[in-house]
Amino acid sequence: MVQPIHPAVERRARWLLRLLILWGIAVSAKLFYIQIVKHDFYAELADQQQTRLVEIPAHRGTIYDRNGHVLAISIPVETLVVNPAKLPNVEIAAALLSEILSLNQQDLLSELQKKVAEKRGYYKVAERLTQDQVKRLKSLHLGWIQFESSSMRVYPNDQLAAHILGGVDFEKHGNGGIEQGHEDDLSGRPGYASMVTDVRHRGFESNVEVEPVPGNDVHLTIDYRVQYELEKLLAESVVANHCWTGRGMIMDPNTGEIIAMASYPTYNPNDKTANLEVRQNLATQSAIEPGSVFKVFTLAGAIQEKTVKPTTGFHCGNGRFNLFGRVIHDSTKNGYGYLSVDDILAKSSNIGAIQVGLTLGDKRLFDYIRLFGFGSRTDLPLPGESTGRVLRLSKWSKSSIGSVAMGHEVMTTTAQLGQAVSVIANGGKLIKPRLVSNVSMPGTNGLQLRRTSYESVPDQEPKQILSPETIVQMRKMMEHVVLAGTGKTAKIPGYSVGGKTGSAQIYDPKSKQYLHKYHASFMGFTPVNNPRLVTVITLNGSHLYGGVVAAPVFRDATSAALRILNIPKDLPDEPSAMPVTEVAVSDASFPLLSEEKPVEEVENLDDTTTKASLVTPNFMGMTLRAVLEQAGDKGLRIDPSGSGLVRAQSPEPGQPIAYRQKIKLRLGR
Amino acid sequence: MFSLRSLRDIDWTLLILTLMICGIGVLQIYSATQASENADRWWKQSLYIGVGLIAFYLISQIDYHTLVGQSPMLYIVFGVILVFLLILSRVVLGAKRWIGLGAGFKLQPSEFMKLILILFVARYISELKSDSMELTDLVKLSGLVLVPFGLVALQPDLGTALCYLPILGVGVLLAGLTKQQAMALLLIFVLVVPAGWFMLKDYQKARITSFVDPASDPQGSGYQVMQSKIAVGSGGMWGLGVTRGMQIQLRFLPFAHTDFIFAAFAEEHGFVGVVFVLGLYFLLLMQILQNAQTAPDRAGTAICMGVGALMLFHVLENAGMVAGLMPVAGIPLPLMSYGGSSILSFFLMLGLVNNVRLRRFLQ
Repeated sequence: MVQPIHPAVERRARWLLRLLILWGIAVSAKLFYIQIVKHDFYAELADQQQTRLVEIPAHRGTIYDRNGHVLAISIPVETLVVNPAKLPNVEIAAALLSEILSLNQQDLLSELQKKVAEKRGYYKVAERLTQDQVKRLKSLHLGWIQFESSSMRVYPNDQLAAHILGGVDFEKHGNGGIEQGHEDDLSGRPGYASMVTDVRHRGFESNVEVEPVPGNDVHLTIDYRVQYELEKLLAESVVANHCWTGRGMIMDPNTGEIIAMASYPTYNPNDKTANLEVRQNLATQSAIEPGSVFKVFTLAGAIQEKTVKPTTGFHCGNGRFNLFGRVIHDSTKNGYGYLSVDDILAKSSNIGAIQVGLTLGDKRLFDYIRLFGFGSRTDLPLPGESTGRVLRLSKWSKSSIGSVAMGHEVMTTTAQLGQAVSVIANGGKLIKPRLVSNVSMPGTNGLQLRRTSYESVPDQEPKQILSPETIVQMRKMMEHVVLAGTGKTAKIPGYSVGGKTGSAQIYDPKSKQYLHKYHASFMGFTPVNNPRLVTVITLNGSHLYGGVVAAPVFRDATSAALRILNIPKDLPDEPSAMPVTEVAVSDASFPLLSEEKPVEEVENLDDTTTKASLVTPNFMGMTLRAVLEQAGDKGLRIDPSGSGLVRAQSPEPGQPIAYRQKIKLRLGR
Repeated sequence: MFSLRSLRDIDWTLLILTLMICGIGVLQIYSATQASENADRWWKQSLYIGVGLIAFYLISQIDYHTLVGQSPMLYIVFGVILVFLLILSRVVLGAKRWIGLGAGFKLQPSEFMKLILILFVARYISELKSDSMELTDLVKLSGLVLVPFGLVALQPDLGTALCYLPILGVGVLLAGLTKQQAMALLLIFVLVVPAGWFMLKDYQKARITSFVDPASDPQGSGYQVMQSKIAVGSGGMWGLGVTRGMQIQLRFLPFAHTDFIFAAFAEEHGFVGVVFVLGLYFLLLMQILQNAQTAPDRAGTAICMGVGALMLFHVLENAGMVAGLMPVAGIPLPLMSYGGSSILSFFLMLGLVNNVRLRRFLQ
C-alpha cells in the first residue's frame, strides 16, 4: 500500500468512509424491511392495483324440441367500440371501418363527428361482427378500436313457439316462457377471472379463479313441425274469421306432454321491442269462460256418479227453461223436446246440460270441476299462468249451477281444458301437462339427466277420476258429437274423433251485457278407442260458432300432427258413419307417444355419436377465453395454469374423457 | 508530457466495477422498456457507455494538473451557458435544461458543471497554504459553488443543483475548518433551510411532504413514492425475474428506466440483487477512496474525494428515495439510470480518478 500523503486527509477520508458505511447500512436495513419483512403487504398492494376480478359469463343452455331441433341458442358475438375522442383522424377511421363493415361511409362519418363534437368517449360502431370482420380489424392493430365479446340469444326459428320460449332481457336473464321458467337450469353460474390490468386499466391477461358452470340444456316436449302447423292454421283462421285472438294446444293425453301450444297474435323473440300484449301466452295466461265445451265435464261427473246414463232422457222445454226464476234458452230457434243425454251433448243443449247438472247438485258439480283440475294451475314451467276461476260454493247463487253446467261463471285456460279432456282420453287419470321432457348437461346429447324440480311432480300417482265405464260412455258420446252433432266439421279422414264444440258468448264488462261474439272452441281427441292426441282450439271474438270456425282448425291441426307423428289410422280412409260399438278400456295399455320417435332422433341416440362427443378436444394454441367457450359448450372442465396460449394439455387431444373430468392446460407465451 | 504507454496502468478495478454496474443498468433498461415505445433505450445506453469509455480514455491522457489549471476557464464558459439557458427559459415557456445537439441528442450543461466544480474546488484547495481555511477563503469557496447552484436551482432543477453541495462539502472537509467556522456554517444552514422552504415550487414542496407521508395523497405527488415502494416490496427476497416485474410492465412504476431504475431492479431481482448492486457501488467508492489516499498531491486527493462524494450522494439519494428514506429529487442512479449526459459526466469523473491514479508516482 502506498502511504497517504497527509495524515489530516487520511483522517478526513475515514470520516467519509464511516458516513458511507452508516448510510449503506441504513438503506440496506430499510430495503430489507420493505422487501423481506413487509413483502406480503406490498405484494398484496401490487396485486390489488394490478388485477381486477372480471365475471366470465356462463354459457346459457340451449332449448331443443323433442327431436333435438334447436329452438333457442346462445352464440358468441363481438361488438366493435371506439372512443371518438381518441380517433387520430375521423375521416380515415370512417373510411376504414365502413369499408370493412360495409357501412355507409357518409353516415358513419357524420355519426362519428357528432360524437366527437359531443365529447363522447364511447361509441358502438357495429354489433354482431362476423369472424372475418373481426379478423380483418384485428390484423390492422389499431390502437383506437376495441372489441367487446358477449353472447347473444338467438331464436333461429323466429316466431316459432315464441310464447313457449319467452325471451331474455338485456342481462340475458329469461323474461318470459321457458327462458324464465327454467332460468335456474339455463343460466348456469358465472365464473370469475382475475385480469391483469395496466395503469390505464387496459386488460392484459386473465387467470380463471372460478370457472363458469355452463347452463343446462332444456329439452321440450314440443315438436317444432307440429308447432309450426298449429301456429300457421291458428293464424290463418283468426285472420280469415276476423277474430281477435286465437289459442290452441295439442298434447299427448297419456303422458301430459304438450306437443304444440300456440297463441295468436305472436311475435319474434329475436326482436326485443315486441310489446307486452303480443307476448302474452293466451293458452296459459288468459282464462276465459269456456262455454259448451265445459258440458263434457258436467256430463262426465253425472255419469260417473250414475245420476244419469247416456240414454236418460230429459225434456228440453222447447227452448225455454225456467231455472229458479231465470229463463234459459237453447241456441236453436224452437229448442228441443225430449233429448237423451248423448244428444244433449251432440246438439249442445243448454237446457239439457243444466238438467243433467241439477241431478248432480251444487256440491258434487263443484267437486268434479275441481277434480278435473279447474281453478288451479297446471304448474307448467311458464310464468304468469292463470289459475282460471272457479267460484267457491259459498259464492254460488241459486242459478249458478245452471251457468256452471254449461260453462259460464267459470273461467278456464286452454291448458286446463287440455288437461281435463285428457282425463277422458287417457282412461280417467288427471295427468299434469308437461312442456319439458328433460334437462341435460350441455354437450351430452341429452343423455345425462339431472334431477330437477319438475321431475318431482310426476312422482305423485295420478289421481283416477273417472271409472273405465264412464270413460267408455264419455268417449262414445263425444264421438257422437263429431259424427252426428255440432262437431261434424272436426272429422278427420282415417281417424275416429271425439270432441265437443263450444261457443261462449262474450260478456262485455263495459256495456255490462253479452255481445254477439263468441269464444269459439273445439276440444277433442283421436283416435277414439285409444286416444293419442288431445287438441284444444279457441278463437276469440268470433261471430260464428265453435263448430264452424274452431272445429276445422282442430281437424287440420290434429291431422297434421297425426301425420307428422306417424300415428296409425284406425279407420279406412273413407269415413263411415258407423258408430263405435263397445270399447274395452284398460288403464295401463296405452302406448306412450314417446316410444315412437321419428327416425332422426333414434339416430341421435346412437352409441357412437355419444362416445364421439366425449373425446378430449384439441385446445392447443387457443386462448384461455376460446378454450372456456368450447369447454363450456361441451360440458368439460379445465384446469389452466400460466397465461397466454395453450402449450400443453392433458389428456391429449383425441383421448377419451369422462364427463366433467378436468382437462389440465398449461399456457405460455 | 506524460503519456499512457501501457493499458496495464489503467485502474482496472475501477473500470471493471464501473462496467459491471453499467451492464446491469443496460439489462434493467432493456427489461423495463422492452414492451414500450422506449424499447430502443438499451442500445442507446450502450452507445453512451461506449462514448463514455472513449471519454474516460481521453481525459486520462491529459494531465489532471492541466485540467485543474484550465478549470476557471471552463467554470466561466459553463457558467455563461447556464445563465443563457436561464434567460432562454424565461422567454420560452417552461423549464429548459438541455441544449439540442441535433439528431435527437441533447446535452445537459448542469451535468458537466459537476465535473468542472470538482476541478475548480480541487484547484482552490490546492492553492491554500495552511491546514485550515480562513473565513474569507470559506466564503469565497462557498460563493463559487453557490453561484452555479443558484443558476441550476432556478432552472428549476433542484436535484442536480443539490449535487453541487457535496463537492463543496468535500472541499471544506479537505481544507479543514476551525470550530467557530463549523458553528457558523451550522447556524447559516439552520437559518437557510426554513427560508428555502418558501422558495420551493409547489411540486417540490409536495415531494417533501409526500416523502414524509406517501399515503397522504397516493394518486398525486405521493404516487411515485408509493409505486416505488410497492415495486421494491413485491420483489421480495429473489425478485420476480427479468421482464417479469409487474409494476414495471404494467407501467405503474413511473420512470422505471431512469430515476426509478433502482426500484425496477429491486422488483425484478429482489433483496439479493439489491444488496449485490449496492455492494458493487460500495467497492467502486472504496476504490475511488483508495485513489484519493494514494494521490500524489492535494489537488489529486480533492478530485478523487470530490468524485467519490458526488457519486456517494447520487447513490444515497437515489437508493434512499427508492427505499423511502429520502424525498424524490430527480437524481439519477449513477451508471445505471438511462441518460447520455449523466453517463458521459460520470465516465469523465471516473476518468479523472484514473487520471490521478496514473500519475500517483510522479512526485
